[in-house]
Amino acid sequence: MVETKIIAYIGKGGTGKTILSALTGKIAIEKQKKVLFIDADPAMGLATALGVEGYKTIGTAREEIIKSAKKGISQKNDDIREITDYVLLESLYESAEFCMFVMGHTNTIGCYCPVNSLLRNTIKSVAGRFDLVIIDAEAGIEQINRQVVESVHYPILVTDNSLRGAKTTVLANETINSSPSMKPLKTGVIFNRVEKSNEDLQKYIEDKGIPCYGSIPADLNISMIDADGLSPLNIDKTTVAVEKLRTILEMNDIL
Amino acid sequence: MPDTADLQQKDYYELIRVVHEIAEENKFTVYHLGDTKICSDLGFGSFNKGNTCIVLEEDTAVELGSPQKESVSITMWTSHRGILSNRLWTCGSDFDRLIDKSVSYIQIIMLGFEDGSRAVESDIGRIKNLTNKLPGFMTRNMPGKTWIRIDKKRMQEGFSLYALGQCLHKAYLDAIPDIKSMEIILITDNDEFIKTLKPISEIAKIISGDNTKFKWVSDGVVTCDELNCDSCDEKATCDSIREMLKKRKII
Repeated sequence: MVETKIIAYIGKGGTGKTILSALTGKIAIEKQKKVLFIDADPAMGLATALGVEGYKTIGTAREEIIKSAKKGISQKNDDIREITDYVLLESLYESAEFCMFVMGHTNTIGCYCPVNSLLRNTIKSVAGRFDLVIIDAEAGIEQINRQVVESVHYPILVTDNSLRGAKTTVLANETINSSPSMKPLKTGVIFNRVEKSNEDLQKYIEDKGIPCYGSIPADLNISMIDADGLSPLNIDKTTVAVEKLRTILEMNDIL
Repeated sequence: MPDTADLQQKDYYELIRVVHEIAEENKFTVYHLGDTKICSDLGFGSFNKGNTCIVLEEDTAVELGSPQKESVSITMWTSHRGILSNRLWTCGSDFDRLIDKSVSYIQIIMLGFEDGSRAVESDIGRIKNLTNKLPGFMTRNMPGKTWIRIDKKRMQEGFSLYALGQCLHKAYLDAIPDIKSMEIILITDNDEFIKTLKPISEIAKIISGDNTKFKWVSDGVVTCDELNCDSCDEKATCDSIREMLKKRKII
């Protein structure tokens, strides 16, 4: 049985969670790990970054399940579970390198809770087949509140050298700790796209009991890949950001 | 026991008769069902509950009826005696001879019960899911569709349409001792049969209640409440059903 590690990148918008998710996947794939990405951001940035196309989102799957249940009169809970299993497997993007679920959004009026519930169940049922599950979470702490990132072993809080970023980090950590269902093995912070973390902000975060894993500098190679619309999986493995991230993940026994 | 009452109301005798006609008109390989040895040799048994087993694409040797391919899956029953006789009908390339890894798939399961059977309709529909009963085998079901993945290890150890038919037979007999007779039709990679059998699948969905838009009247008349056929999104389905009913002289 595979021992699956689940990582989630959490933080305020614009801190680079998507690129860190992709680069983590790249490092893991190079280590011959089986990787499942979960693009939990409704903007679907990770799917776009990795060039994933032709997928069915979990949001679409949810709508199909509702439609199917409405169409028939004989469907009981077990029948709906069967339909859910079918549609969710259909939503699994599978390539030779990695697999991915894209949460997407829904056109059906109503809250996201049922979708999130599907996502949680999917993580549980599918994750066991992978060495590593990497979740690119929605900006902010909403998804932790809704327990989308339940069962995560390594929540990695991402910030920049801004007070707002640091405050979001602290709030996210408090939410994780107060959630009865979240029992992370280790939580830490990465300062992303900075030469060096701001000492005051780092102290502010560490004083709240959150270890800082380190900082990753802005990387021209990543900017170029972004500008050209190329997959971060193809970036040179010796590029600075990749090497720094690899060191952080290895030193903290995350990878 | 409302399900038991439903079971008797929803007798698929007329559809089973049509399926038999189609099978007799075509070249099928016919086997007898009841080879339990092959099931035990394959490690068949309920080793876990639920549908948790997932065969990923990279581990898949054979894929049947995936969402990218056509799939027709029908489960029917009747209490008419003498119509079913424990036969497995197969058509198309066997798993080890498929040219493409992923092909279309047809699976028809026909069950014979005595009047007053206590079998429950919703259970009957789910038994065909052999996930977690057969190592290296995954099934996903939607009304009218079955999607199967068989992993490379399972195929290396030997697996065939015959083996699948015998395992389905055993799964039903183990779960519902009430079954008096059973027939299974398995077809791989055949677009003509998909076209022929899809209307039957649609009628089966109407009878089972998986499609509530139409109503099936027992003498073979399909009705609905739609006033304007031209604007109905089920028109194609409806037309194919009516064409099949006429051709097969049900109406």
